[in-house]
Amino acid sequence: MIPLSYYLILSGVLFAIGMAGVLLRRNAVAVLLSVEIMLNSANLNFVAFSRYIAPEQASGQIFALFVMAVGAAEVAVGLALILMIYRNMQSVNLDQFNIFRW
Amino acid sequence: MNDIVSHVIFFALAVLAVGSGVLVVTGRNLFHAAMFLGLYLLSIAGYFFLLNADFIGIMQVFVYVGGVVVVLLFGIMLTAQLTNVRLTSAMEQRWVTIVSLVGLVGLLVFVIKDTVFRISALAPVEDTISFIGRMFMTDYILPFEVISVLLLAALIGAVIIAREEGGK
Repeated sequence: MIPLSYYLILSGVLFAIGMAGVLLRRNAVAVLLSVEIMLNSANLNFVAFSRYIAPEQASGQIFALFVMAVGAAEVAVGLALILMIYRNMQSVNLDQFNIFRW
Repeated sequence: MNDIVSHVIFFALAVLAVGSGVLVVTGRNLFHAAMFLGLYLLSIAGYFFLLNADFIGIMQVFVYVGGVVVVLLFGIMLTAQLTNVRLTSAMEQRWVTIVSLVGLVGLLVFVIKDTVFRISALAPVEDTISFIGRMFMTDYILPFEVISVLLLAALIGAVIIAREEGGK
């Protein structure tokens, strides 16, 4: 059986990749893609813990489903916001979204 | 499943997931990045199948690969200017970000390595679909209803936010 720590380290690495995307990309849609990577690495953690610590309860799988629902809602609202900003500013570059700055 | 076989599957999926994740983050072409995100999500679904969570794996393919990636592709195409598809990302804070994230991963590995987890030897749930359905209707009924209200609110909010101003 694969050790649990393999899954935890892998999901940590994937989370760091997604975090790098959020911090480095300047395109708003690319940031949304990176947030999806982070959400899925957390889901992998949930399911791995569920399989190894309490396999007869499957509660981690239920939480993974909740994370999926929140992730889908986040994509819908996030894309609506990006489309709205794009209509107003003709750009999806995060560096140009500084109209609240004074 | 044979131990060696499951190790081979684990590392093959790890290479697939890390490789496609890096390509999503570093790729200059946003359309390709969305396609690699689909590949990444499929490899995570493979892990769910490996972990006996077949319902979550199927839902991952349905909701993420079938739904979220398509919605993101719509978003990319709706916001793509003619020169915008091939994006230059400035990456000004590149070195600070990479150093701090390597530090984060190193800290996580350091912590995980020395932690003793109480691994249960019980058999996993066989019929996950009916089990999860029963749990949603009994123990997790309140979170289930809250998440359904949240989804409804998010969908209505998304339509209202994205609607043309003044348009009926």
